[in-house]
Amino acid sequence: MITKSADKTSRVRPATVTVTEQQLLALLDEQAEALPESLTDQLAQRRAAAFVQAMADTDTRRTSTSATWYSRPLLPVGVTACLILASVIWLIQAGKGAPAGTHPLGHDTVALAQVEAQVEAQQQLDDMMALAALDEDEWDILQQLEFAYWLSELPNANPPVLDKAG
Amino acid sequence: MTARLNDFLISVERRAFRMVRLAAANDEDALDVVQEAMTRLISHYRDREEAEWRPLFFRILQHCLADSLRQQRKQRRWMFWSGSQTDVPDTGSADGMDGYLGDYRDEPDQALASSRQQQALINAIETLPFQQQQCFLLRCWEGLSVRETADALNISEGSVKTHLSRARQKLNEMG
Repeated sequence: MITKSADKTSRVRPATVTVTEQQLLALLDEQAEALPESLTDQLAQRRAAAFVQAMADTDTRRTSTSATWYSRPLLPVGVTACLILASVIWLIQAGKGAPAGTHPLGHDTVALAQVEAQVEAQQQLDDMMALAALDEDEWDILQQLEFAYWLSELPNANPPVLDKAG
Repeated sequence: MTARLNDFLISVERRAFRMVRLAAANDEDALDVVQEAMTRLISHYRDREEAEWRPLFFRILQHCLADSLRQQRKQRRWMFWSGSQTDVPDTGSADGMDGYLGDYRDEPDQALASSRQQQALINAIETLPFQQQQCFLLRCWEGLSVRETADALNISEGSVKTHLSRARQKLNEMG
């Protein structure tokens, strides 16, 4: 408890004070000490209210500090990074085994690739069927043609003169 | 900490109220200003050293008082332009100090003379310009240093000396 006398000693008034000023200061002291009871009661109530309000303000500040973490400047960067990472993972997963309908590259590209693969397979099948259908003479001619083509591909090689009969 | 702060506020609240009441329009406004200053001190400076509380409190008090007077001026200006006549509620006399200027029931003549003299002194300080009045109260009544008074009123130390000199001159002339 701060006593009245200790409180008064902490005040350092100017040394040269006139009589009028002394009277005025004494009057102010007297009035401050002799406040009506209604006013002193109200001051006590206001002091109690100030404590309550100050504590409430402190709690509000604490709550708002923890609640506004999302408003910090790093958040947009973090959110963007997460979105990019999620997109990359989704693209990789989708490319591995997703159904054609959900392929991220689009329906046209997938359909074209599938058609090309089917055409190539069909051509290989046709070639094999054609070879299987050859008789012995046609097979010999084909072999000779392949041999001649092979020779022509050799450096400085003269093309062989085919037997007119063959 | 809270108990010590409460004791400190008990020790200054009456003087703070009296100081503010000299400038405020009525008791209610003065109480509002004192409560606001208390709230801010508790809220922001309760962890400071105990020796710092007093100059801090009076500094906050002056800021709150200046804010309150500014708001009243705005309100009065707005009422003037809008033409509305709203009386400012006054719960007491001109300075709210009727009834405790001294008790001289036994000697009516002496009581009257003393009461008049005291009222003249109060009138003298009430009619001072705001900064001169508050400089005198903070420096001479509360005993704050020139530096602390300057901080409280947000003016330079030179201005404090000037305001104080003029205030004392007027008080001595009127008193």
